[in-house]
Amino acid sequence: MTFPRRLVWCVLVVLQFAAAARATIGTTLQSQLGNPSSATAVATATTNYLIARPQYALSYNNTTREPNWVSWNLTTADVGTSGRSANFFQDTTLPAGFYQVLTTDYSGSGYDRGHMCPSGDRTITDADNEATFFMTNMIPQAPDNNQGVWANFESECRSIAAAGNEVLIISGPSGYAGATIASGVAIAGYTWKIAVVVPVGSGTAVSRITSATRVIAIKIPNIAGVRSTPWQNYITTAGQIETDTGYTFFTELPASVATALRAKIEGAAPVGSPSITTQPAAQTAAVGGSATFSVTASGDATLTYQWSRDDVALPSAQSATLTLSSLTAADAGNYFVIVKNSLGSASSVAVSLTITGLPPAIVTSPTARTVTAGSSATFAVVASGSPTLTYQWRKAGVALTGNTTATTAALTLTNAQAADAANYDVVITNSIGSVTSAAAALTVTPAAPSVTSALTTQISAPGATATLTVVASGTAPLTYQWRKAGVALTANTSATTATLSIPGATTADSGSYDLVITNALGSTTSAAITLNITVIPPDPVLWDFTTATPKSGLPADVSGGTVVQRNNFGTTQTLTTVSVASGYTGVSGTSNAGAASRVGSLNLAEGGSAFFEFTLTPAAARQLSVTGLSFGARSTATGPQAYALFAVNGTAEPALIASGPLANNSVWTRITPTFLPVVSDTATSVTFRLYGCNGAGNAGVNTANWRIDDLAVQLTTGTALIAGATKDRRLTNLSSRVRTANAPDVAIAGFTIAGNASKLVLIRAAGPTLGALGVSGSLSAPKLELFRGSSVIETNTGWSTAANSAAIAAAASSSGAFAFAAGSADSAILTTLAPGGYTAQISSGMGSAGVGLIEVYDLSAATAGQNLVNLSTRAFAGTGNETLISGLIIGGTLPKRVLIRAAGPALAAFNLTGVLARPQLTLFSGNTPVFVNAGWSTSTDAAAISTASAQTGAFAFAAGSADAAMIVTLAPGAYTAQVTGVGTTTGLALVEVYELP
Amino acid sequence: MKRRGIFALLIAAALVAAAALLLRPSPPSAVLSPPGSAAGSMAVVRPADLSAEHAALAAAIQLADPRARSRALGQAFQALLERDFEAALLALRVLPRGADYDTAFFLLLDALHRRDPDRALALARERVTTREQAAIYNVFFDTFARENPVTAVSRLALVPAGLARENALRALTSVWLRADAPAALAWAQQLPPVDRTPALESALLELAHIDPLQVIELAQTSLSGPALERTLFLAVQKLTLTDPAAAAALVPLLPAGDMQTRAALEVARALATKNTAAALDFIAQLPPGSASTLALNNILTSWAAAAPAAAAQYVAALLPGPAQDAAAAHLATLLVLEPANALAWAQSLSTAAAREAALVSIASAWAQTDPASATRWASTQPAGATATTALTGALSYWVLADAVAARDFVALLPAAAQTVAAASIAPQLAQRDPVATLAWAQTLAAPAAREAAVAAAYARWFDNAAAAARIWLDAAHLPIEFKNRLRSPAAR
Repeated sequence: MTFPRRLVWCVLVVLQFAAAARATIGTTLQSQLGNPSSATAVATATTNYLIARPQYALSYNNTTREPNWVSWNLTTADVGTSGRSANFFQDTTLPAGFYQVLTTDYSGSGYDRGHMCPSGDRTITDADNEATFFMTNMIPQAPDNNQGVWANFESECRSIAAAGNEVLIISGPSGYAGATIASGVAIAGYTWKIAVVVPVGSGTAVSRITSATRVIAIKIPNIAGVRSTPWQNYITTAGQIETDTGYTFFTELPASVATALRAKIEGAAPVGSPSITTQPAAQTAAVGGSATFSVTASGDATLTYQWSRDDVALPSAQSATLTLSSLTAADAGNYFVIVKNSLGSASSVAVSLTITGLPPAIVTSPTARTVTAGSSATFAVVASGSPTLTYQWRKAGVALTGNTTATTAALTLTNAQAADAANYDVVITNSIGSVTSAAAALTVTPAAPSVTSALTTQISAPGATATLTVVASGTAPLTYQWRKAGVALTANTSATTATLSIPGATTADSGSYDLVITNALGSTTSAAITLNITVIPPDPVLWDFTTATPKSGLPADVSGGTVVQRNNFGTTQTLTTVSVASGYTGVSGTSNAGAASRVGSLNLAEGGSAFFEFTLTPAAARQLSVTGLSFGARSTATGPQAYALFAVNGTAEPALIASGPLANNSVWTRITPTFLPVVSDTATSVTFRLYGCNGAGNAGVNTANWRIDDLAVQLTTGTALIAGATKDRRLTNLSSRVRTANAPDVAIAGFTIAGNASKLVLIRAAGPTLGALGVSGSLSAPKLELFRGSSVIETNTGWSTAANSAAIAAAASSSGAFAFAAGSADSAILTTLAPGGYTAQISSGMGSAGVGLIEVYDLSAATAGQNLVNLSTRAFAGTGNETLISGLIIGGTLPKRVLIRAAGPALAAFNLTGVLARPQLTLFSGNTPVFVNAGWSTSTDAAAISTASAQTGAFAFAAGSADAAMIVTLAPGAYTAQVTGVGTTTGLALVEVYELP
Repeated sequence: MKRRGIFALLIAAALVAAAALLLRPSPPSAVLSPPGSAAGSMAVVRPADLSAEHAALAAAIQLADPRARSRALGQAFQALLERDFEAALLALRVLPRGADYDTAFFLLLDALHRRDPDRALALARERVTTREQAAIYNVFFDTFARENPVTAVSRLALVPAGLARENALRALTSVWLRADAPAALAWAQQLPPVDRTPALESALLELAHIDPLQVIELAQTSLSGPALERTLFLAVQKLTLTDPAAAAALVPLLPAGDMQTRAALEVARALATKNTAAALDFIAQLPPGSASTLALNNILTSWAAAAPAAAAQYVAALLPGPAQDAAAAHLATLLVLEPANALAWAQSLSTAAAREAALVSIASAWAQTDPASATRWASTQPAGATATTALTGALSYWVLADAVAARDFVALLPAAAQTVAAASIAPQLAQRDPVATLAWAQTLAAPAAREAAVAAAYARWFDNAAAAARIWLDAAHLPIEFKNRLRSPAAR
């Protein structure tokens, strides 16, 4: 993905401005030690292009697509509090014709976008920090290198600067082995860095460098497994890095000082240990002649020498000079010497001895070969001689042409047939002479067809071209016949070739295929190949967190997907990549995303929770349906942890769609919550938030960071994915657990049926059955009365006494209500009610007072606008068993927005006494509290609550009153709203649930 | 160039030898000889044509540029490796030891250890002789530990003592700890001492990212020497990020020395970003000395960004002495965003030492944004050591930014200042263009400045290129006596 040009331009403008504000001579400050490769800012310098910024200077290489080196100056004044940029930037300042590495070019490579000039070294201003995020300042770094030992040394440099030093730093890659990541950026074998430490003082740092100045040079393998290796293990010299790279450092220093600095070793080898001062040189000598290698070394006391050839120590070769005479071919090789004294040792470079004047000689002749027809035959010769040998293979004495291997040491004949059978030899030549090998015979035996390779299963999508291939060998000519289920295919012209193509394949083409191969010697049939033409489900949208954006799978008609994180301190930012998800078997990449987790109950208040969030937006006239989500997760907490997944559909309030436990103690687990599909409205965004929070248990041990990886979302897109969505979002059940005694403790439940059609409802008053479910002090014989206005329209005491008791039992069963025992004293009314408001009153009747449950179920089919829209229950609320509990079930497949209120002080206006002074309303999903409020006007959406109350016809709460309320969007499922008194307060309360549009 | 020819020859021979090895009769391959195949008893292994890879390898070795050479060699060797492992191994054996060898060595063993770990370990044991090569054990044990830490532990028996073993232990422990911290720690702690230190240090360095307090506790009872210092420092650094107050309490308990000082600086800086008063309280607990002074400087860095006036007032009110001088010098560099205010503040300091320290700092810091103004200001200061230091400091930045302008400015200075200034910039100028610098030096009006500049420029040139400098001197139209002085080693 290309960074939007306009935004890039803006960034560049900002950085340019920063340049003026920061330091007018910043660019030259950053390369005080010199220009190691004589880079120039001309467009033709494609492999050595100078980029000078106020924050650093670098030489850029358009071939490797990364910097050759980066140079900058670090002082404590460069380190501030700007934080780390949320974005990387494509460097659009590169000349035309240069490849601009994209910020996504490293995705999926397994390598980090490794800063050379670190982000942490430039944190005085945002602009300074962002300048380090240009891709021209990046190289592919193995995560263990970048996040481990390399990061530690970066930190070390900042620490040195903080201790009153200026640190002049040059850094870069070296030791390429030719590999690149997919986007063509070269992978270096090493990362190196040279830090020159100059105590702060007057004038430029370079003007204060002397031979005594401290130099730290490191060269770190760019590999896995070095994460926790101390950087001290990779100390080297600047001189060694010069050798590795071909650059010249310290060109702005006096030669004597530069020489001294190049040889410095941080932590220093013992003074007096051997050091090679003059390396041996490669030699070339004629056969029979002589050659001399010599070395000069310094070091304390007596130095000893041992010369080796090809890693084999040579006896009697133990002085500074090695002379070889009467040279033969056997003397050719690589020579080096190890110099030792009591303090240590030093090894010279290895140099070659080349013996010239050697005519070609056959070491190993080609040998006769017998192969079956259709296979390959190879003849090889091993020869010695110098200078360079050339080869010419011959067939029956005639030089072979048209075969590229005929002029190499090994001749290969592919698909050998009878005509290839002959004697083969090779003529080997150099400037000294020529030799011909003995001839070797090739025998080709006739062969019936045989199958060399074939797939056993092929899967293809409908409409695509399905291809089946079998590779066979044998005496030519071979003929082919493809069959399906044993029947020869005739209509397809490719059915008589080795490759069968079925364009526009359909499911009818699925089946078992084989290929009959025939020649004059016989016939063979391949093993069956199963072709399966099937709809291949779309790949999930997958984040591997090498970047914040999806790694793959985002359909063309969906945009968004950038994951942001919010930490415990309320900071929201695009996530940054971090460490390897070690120990997680499901890991696909090398990075994962982390966030500090909330301590305490989960809530949605700013600064009160930690989550990852991404938004998906369908294109115009499109909807999207998210049917699945999975992620790997790990929490460092030692106590129980949990996750909660919310969906925010358009402008609706967040809806909890799934929650569950999260592994603690840093154990990675794969989590695949189940939830009903989340379907967006047309062209409307859906935002998913994944919270980490403490689970049940001791919150004090739940301080945690938690990480996720391999986030995957299954989604489909299209038009009209949710026809009838409106009617499919509804309340289907409302219930309240109450305590009854004498009036005014009689519990009263009100509910409203909206629309213009009658609705079948089941109303129940549970008492004795609650006792069987473990609720103590339950009503023994609840009396249920249904009122419309002040008129009782139905009453029941003992559900089995009702005329329609069988229907009541069936309705309870179909609606998911728990069953009343046959003949129990629980009460129920099953009736069809016209739209309007009703109250159901539950009292102790003839039995004892106690705890009861009043329930209202909507048993009708979903019809737009014909909903059970409200339940309110007035009852005594206390603590413990006296908690007033209302249950509600969101039916259908889509989230529902509801207003829930707990009135206490507001009831006084209705001349009720003994009201609950300070109600606290807590909404639970299962056992997990998901929202809490104790004072509606303190809520961030107090205005929305006021408006919603007016819209639904609820009486208004006084401004600033202690009544509680919340507006929430809930996924389909069961919830309980519990009303308790703050502290130990008790009293009469009214809990209400209203459906909202 | 020629010396590389023998390598090409040797590689060619090795590759052909590898092909020959493959041609030897070998047992029928189950894969290549399906049941019932008439080819079952034949030597069906097909030696590859490796001439292209051989030629590429030979050509790569002859490249002079080390970066291009390593790239080409790596590509050629990788291609060979993918075609024929044994041939690649033979080719490796005849490569000259050094960076190129290491490149090929890594490619080969990296490929081998994934499919045949035991052979890779045996080969590494035979071939590893340098630190660069020993890094292959990091790769090995990172892979092994990811697959199965327990199996990885059993493979340690195949690793020789020394750096190879240290690398293996570090990689293994690091991976294991991230997967199963308790198990990894328990294993590391029961190792014999020679293995325990690197293993435990790696484990604790890893754990420090998760639970720095536990690391501090474990490190003090399990490690010593540099490993202890490194581990403690990282743990304090990490703790400082999340809980600087807790880290502050630990600093006095750390072993005295450089590590403790640096830890104090980390804590001071972290505290200062949140609460300056708490940061100042912290350094008040530190004994007077460099740790305290440096810590205050770190606090001032944050403080001056947020409330420069308060920071300036605080420094001005410090007790006179070296601590105030150091703080004044540091704060001056931070206040210089408004040079006039910074200068006024510096002039208001109560002691001469603090004033001079601040003014010298201001000159250099100001010169980083406006070297011309800073230099001009310094040149107007009353003669003396402070003025000289301020002038030469500012000038050094001006030369970086605009050498010609700086040079021209020096030419206009009064004699005394010109002498000092010319001598200070002449080496910088001569570093890039000694001839032009010496020509300029001889144009200076003040005789003392002329001599000082010529001497300084000549000394730098002589250091860099003695022969050329001597030739110039011999031909220069300078007084004999001055020439002789320049020729004297004492003049340089």
